[in-house]
Amino acid sequence: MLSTKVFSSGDNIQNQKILCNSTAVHPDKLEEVYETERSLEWVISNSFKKIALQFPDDLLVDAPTVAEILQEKLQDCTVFILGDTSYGSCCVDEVAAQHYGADCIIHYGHTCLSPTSKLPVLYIFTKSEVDIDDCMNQMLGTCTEREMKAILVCSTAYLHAIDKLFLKLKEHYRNVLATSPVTSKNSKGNDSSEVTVITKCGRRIEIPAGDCLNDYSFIYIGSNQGPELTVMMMTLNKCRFYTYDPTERIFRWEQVNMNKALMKRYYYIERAKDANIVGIVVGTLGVSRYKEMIDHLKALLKKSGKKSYTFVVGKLNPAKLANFAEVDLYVLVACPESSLLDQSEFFQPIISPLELEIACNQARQWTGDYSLDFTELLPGSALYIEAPNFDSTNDDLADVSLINNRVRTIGMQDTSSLGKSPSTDVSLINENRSIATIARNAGEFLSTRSWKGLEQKLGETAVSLAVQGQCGIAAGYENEPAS
Amino acid sequence: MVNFTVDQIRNIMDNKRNIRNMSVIAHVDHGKSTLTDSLVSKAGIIASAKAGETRFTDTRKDEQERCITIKSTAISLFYELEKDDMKYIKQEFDPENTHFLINLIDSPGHVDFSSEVTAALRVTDGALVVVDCVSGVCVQTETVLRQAIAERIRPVLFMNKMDLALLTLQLEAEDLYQTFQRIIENVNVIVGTYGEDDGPMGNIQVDPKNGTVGFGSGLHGWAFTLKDFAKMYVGKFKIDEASLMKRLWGNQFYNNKDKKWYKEQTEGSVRGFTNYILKPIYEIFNTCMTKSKEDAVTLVEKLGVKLTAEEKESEGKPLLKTVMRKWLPAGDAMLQMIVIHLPSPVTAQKYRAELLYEGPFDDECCTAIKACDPKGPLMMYISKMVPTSDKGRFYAFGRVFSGIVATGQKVRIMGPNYLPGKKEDLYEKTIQRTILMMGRYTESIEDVPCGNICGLVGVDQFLVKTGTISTHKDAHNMRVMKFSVSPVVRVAVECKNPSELPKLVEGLKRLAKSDPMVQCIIEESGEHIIAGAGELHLEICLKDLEEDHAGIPIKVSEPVVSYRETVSAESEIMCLAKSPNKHNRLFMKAAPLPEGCAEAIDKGDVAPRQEVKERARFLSEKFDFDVTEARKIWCFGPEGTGPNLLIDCTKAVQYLNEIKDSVVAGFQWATKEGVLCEENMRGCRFNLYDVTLHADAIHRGGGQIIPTARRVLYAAALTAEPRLLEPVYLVEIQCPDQAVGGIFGVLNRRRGVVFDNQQIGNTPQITVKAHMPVNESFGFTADLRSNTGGQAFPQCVFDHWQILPGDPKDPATKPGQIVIASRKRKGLKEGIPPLDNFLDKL
Repeated sequence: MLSTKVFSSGDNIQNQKILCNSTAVHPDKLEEVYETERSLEWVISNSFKKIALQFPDDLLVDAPTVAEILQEKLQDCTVFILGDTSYGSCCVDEVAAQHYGADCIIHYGHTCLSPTSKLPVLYIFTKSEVDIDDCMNQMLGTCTEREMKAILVCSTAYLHAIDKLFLKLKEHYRNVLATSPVTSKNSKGNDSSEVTVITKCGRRIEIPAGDCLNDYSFIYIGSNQGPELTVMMMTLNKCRFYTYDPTERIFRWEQVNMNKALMKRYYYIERAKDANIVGIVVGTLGVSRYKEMIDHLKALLKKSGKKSYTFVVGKLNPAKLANFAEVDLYVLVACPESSLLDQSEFFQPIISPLELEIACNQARQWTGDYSLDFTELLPGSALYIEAPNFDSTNDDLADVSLINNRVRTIGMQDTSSLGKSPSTDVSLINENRSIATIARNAGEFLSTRSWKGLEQKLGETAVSLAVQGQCGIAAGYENEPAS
Repeated sequence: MVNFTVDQIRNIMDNKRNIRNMSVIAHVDHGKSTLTDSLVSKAGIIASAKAGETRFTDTRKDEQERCITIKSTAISLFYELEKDDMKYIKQEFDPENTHFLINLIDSPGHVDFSSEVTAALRVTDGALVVVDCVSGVCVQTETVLRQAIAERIRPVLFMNKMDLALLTLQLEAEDLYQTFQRIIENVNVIVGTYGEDDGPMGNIQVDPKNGTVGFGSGLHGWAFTLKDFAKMYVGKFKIDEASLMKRLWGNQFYNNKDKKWYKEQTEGSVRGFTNYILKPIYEIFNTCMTKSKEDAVTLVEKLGVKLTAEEKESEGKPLLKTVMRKWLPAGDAMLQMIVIHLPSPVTAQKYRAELLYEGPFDDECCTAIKACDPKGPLMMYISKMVPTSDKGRFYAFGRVFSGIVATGQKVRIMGPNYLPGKKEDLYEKTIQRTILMMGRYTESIEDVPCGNICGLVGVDQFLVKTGTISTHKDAHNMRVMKFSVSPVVRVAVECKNPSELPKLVEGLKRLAKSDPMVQCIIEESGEHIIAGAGELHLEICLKDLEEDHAGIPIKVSEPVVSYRETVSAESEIMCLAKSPNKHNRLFMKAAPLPEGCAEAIDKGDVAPRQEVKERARFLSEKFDFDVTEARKIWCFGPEGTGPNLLIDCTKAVQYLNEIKDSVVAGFQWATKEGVLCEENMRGCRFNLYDVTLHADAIHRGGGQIIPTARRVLYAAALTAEPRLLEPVYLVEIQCPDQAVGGIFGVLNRRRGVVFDNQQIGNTPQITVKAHMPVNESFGFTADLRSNTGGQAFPQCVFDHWQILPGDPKDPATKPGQIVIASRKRKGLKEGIPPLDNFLDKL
């Protein structure tokens, strides 16, 4: 699993273990948690034949039981469990499902609610318990302002309780609004003159017309450590957040300085402006329009005079990405929740598409608004801004990097005339035309390495007899003392 | 004040033998700007319309308010030397042309702005060293003089504040002579220590007998050299001026009876200097201050000074000032000294070219610089950026060393990272405008020939702070300047509203350009850091940022010091890290570099681009390195040049070359962000002892090796008694001796160590020198003043790095707390990561 905490550095990647619920859900509760009845209804009414079930790692213990129950009731259908997903388990893995020709997917557990493109999906959020009374009591103690404008948001596992909670809240706080998740069913809003509909982080928020979203506080029910909260706080960085963690039973005001978190992201934007070679890492195969996004990024990078390469490496880890030392920086196209990585172990920085846009698109200004949802950047979406063509004669394209205090330029630089004499003697060819220390493409980089491939070094290396090598497995060879 | 049209100035510019580029350098408060003012009012060239305004070189509002120079400012002076005096010029000169153009740069004296001095020295050939004859040679005098000599700048000396010595301290003539003598000796000791004995500049020691020392008072506007008095006495002694000058200084005693000069003081003989120079001056002082007006007027008329009726009415100090100014006008004496003794660009560039130019000394550009050839290729060095009234734009200020720079000319702009034949840091642009910088004012000029100082419009965006402008395609860079101060004090700035971040960033970029020294960077933690030489420097930078460059309200953190991470022993165990796939192993140990080695790397005595064998020999001779090991230095780090070494100590490892790049990358990463709190490392050597590699290349790629190298380096550092290094200031404080107790108290509380404590000559002034950690220096000036009744004024300059005693791994110790605070500030996980994160077992 990817560690997605941005506020502190995560655990050492070497020591990471997959978290599993050790105990299965009690058979009596299976129906309630996994909503088998609703699933059956959905499959039957849509007359699907091949049903893929996608479980996150922590729910795998229950997977066989759930699959058995469904298969039993759906005799003429095939029900199967998808294997390990290549990317975050919050996303629907359409590609894996298509390998088996599935015609629908039932996704269990936590989800980032990113829109999918190919297959119909049923989200089963797997209900978790929430103590509404405890939440209310703690909240009354913390938030004494009864008139406060607030918006109630629940993590998917607690969505089942949102209505009850909302009614309770309304008793004490007049100006509370509820949200609903955006799934394919209700994605079209009923925009009227009384309410403004805002879709953020996969939630539909309806606020009275004329109100500003920044005036509202958010009450978030869910884990106060998870990536979902982080994404929301980054996106709605001007709002105040209260959280209630039902497992820890803690209600609190999140006082993390979002300004600081945003400044940290701004550092990466500055790095992106410095970069010459950018790697586009494909971090999803499920979120709709991801291909469009990759093409968009390629075009943008080309326009701004940077070289791009596209990488598909499955699950990201430092070892995989460090193999390409020539890449100055990676941009990750993935669902919002897997976009914010803990970067401390990675050799090169990894940024989100919006950050790259701010760095390379002259027309886009940093306003403090932040989004991790890349679909919003594509043509036709709310945050789309067309990148202007660079005018190579414009001197404003040169500025000072605040990373290394050097001058850098953005845009295609006309370097053909450089290196030539401005005077008349063009016949002279520069003898020491060697490669720049800062490579503009991978080929240039490779030619600066000290090691350029196998060399024979005939006569330089002493001939030696073959010797016995190591035996056993790499973690500890047989001839090594056991630890 | 002389009024000229631009065309007239342009004409003088062509006479390169009649140009003097000089800077005025001194310790803070020794009276540079005041002296400069008196020169400017005598001979300053300004456009006719601007005549009549004063305070030319302090161009900023805050400079005038604080009475301290912050930025160096250039002003041009015009001087006509008497034809008779032309014979004193020892260098190549034009006997027909007595018109001289003097480009003078007034520089700040406070240590925090030393970088401005460095930038001024680069574009000038001579320096007027001003010393307050009461307080003598101070730390900043030494620093700037040392820099001047290193840049091959010829010095002349001016003893300032004689009025103070006479009026306030009431020194006897012989005592005053001794004071002068001591100061000249001190200056010459510095010159002798840092100068080249048989260098191309020849003898650069200052000597009153040659006329390279001036005396006087900038405030009162009078000054003289021995030449002025020799001229007066020529008639009396009937020997020529030059020989008489030799009699007027040193142990030369005149016996009025037998009319002979003696080398020793005998009965009835008097010292030439005291009797023929100081005595008349003392007399005027006495008469004007204590005797009646009539006496004074009589005396004055005897000297041949004519007073107006109005001036005759004044008495006391004003009268004294008028008399002295009329008798010994400062402008004449000083300008004469400058013109005669300081080198013209033709003279200076001959010996400065090889110091200034990075390329081969026989190529076309270097030859043109040496000859100061206006027909050669253009070579211009931009030493600083001067803000224009157009926000965010700058004049690129510098000196033309060869060729002619002209408006509309297409030039190559080469930044400090440009290498010939490569495209990095190279831009080709047209110069929009060439301008003359005259104090606060600028004037457009069509073109400027070599040997002169000017400003350019339209190249500022392609340079950060400095650079080289050329028209020659094979031109190398002109050498970058070396600063005597380092940016060791840092603050983090934040804008109040995240949406204003671009304004802040833009402001920081402008600030980075406008100051030769300040560093503006964004750290990985997202903090925007401004690093400067000292508190005052930062204060000025922050004010500029808030008011001019960014124009938004800014939150500023408490000042912090940057630390370095080091090790203090050899790793106690052999450290091993396995790659993620477990197939590759790296074995390493860390050890401290020998004392002085890190400094040698800083200075460039040991450098990455040196010839390997030569470097190895140097290391083994100087620092006791094993020669074979010293030959196998893989790299320096961080940034490929830093003061840490990665040394290959392996024996016959297959495929080792193949992973070298990856290990080096890991080394750069680890030395840039140390294991304790991600500060740079310093003074460590890492020995790679053994390596096990997978036989297939695909399993030993960068992805496997780079993170592993970083881990094993961290493990090696953690097992080698890691320590923190803190920067230490050299503090010099001058005060009256009764205030010394207060100084010692303050220094003690701030972990200061006094190592020198001297009385200045026979004055009641004391100089205290001490080392004090930079971390303890915040608020030091104010603290010191309140504890000494405002009598002590410190100068702090970064001196060295020092180990902060205590184990940083123990949170109870001082370094431990610094690590915790630093990690918190950077948003890192609490506590130093444990060793087993990095260390693998076999």
